[in-house]
Amino acid sequence: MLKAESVVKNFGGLRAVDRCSFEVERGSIVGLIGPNGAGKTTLFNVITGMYKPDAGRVMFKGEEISGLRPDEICHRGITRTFQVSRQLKIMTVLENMLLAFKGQKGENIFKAVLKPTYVLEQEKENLGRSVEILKTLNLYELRNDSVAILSGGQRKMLEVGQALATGPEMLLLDEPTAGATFAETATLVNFIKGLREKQGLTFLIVEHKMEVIMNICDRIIVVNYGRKLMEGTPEEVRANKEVREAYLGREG
Amino acid sequence: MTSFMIGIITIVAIYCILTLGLNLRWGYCGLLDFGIAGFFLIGSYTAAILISAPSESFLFGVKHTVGFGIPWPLGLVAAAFSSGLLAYLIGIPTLRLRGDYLAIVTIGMAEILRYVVLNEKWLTRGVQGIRDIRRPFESFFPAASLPSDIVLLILTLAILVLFFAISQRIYRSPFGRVLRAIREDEVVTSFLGKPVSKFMMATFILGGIYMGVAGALFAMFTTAIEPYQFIPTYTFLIWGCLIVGGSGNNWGALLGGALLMGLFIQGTRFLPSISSQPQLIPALRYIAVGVLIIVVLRIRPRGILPEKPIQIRDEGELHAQS
Repeated sequence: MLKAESVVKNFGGLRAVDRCSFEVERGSIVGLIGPNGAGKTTLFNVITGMYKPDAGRVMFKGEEISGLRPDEICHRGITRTFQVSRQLKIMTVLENMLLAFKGQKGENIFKAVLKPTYVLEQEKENLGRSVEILKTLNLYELRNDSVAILSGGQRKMLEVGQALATGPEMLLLDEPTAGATFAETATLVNFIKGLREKQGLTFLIVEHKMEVIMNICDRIIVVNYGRKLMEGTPEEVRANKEVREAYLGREG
Repeated sequence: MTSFMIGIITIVAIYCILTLGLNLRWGYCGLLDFGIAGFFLIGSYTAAILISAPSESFLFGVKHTVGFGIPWPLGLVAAAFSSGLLAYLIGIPTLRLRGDYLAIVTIGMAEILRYVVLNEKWLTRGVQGIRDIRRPFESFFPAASLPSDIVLLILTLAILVLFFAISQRIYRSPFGRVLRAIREDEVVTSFLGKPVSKFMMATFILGGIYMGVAGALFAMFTTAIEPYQFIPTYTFLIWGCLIVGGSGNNWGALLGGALLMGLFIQGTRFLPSISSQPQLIPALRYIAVGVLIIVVLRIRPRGILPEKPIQIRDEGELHAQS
């Protein structure tokens, strides 16, 4: 479904992503791990259009998406979340959700002013879906609070909910459980698994919590110094010597 | 005296329209616009040149023809169009850039335009300005009469109410929601699939239209305009109005306009003049405005009427509120 073909991204003299190639199959949950500074987030940024790759290309459903704007890539069906959650803090939880839906007729300035009934109908429909998502994420009670008062974990959950509201085929989650409590992590893990089972969504997840990665991923890609170190099932990754060295350093 | 009061209400209403325009751009969308005076100018001059009767005048021995004698409603539309077009043209190269660049370009543009109207005398008569700008229904209500002032007041208030209603609708609409999202975080908004620069452009143009129409009303109100009326001071006064009133809140924009332009700038005209120092009160005005801004920012950093998050409790309320 998603295919990176020897993607390169340089920052000045630093090669953050070095000829990285991998493939994510439809309906799978793939983990992307590696030590700090390995280039995971940069890879996300290249895939979602924040940066253009310096070489190589990114394919989605057989079409090249590298070079498209973030909003265009979102319309193709890929939505991402951020490592440090970035929401719209003055707006309420519910407004954050409502914002995310695609194809809102009321986003046209003339329709926004003239406000025909179908805009209201669509708002009602989106409101219903938002409430549904918020209930699954245990955020329903906070729907009219500004995002600024949410805890780190709650923000992460809202971000996943928001990403889901865009109606994606594939979600790129950058450390979705960072800062989440034990219970919140469990909710999120179940939520992600449920989305894959019920809606057939595809996931690419950057995560540092190994118990989460090992629990939900079908395959894991390990990167270090911008390069793909290895790829395999959680068991294979766990057993790999190079991976242990990348994380813990070489043995004496 | 009645006429004087009507005049003050009219001019304050015109400044309130400018503040609403700035609120769209800055309060809703976070566009750092310092070119208010420029959009005001372009609307004002467009309307003045089109509405005023054709007249020939000699300027330094050269004959200049200014004025097309077009009906005033068309002048208003043309003012909206020209300032909207100006916003579009400025927006193309700048809206993709970060906020500060927009501030630099807009303030530069406003000053350039002022120098253009100062120097292109064939079109604008330079410092002499354009005079005898016709008011609405001048054949029924002669110029410089109370009825004529009342007609213009009604027209100005009608447009203020219309623009206020448009702004209010936009605030609660999905379009307005995207604007507020852009203000909070452009990057997130674009990753949620919103073409950010298109939304910015639409807002920038609409704000320009507000300011251009305000300019046209100003031209008809004063019946004579000249370049000095469009100095950057007005840009900063309108910013003051919005900051004092509460940016993001249209009621705040109106309150700020009424308080700062009405009470502090216009209202001080009623103070008894100090006999030996006639220039003292006009000079103190700007100091008073500065003090007002500092005090408000100290006590209520987000303005007297700050923006409130939109609360939606159930589906019924969505219907009722939006």
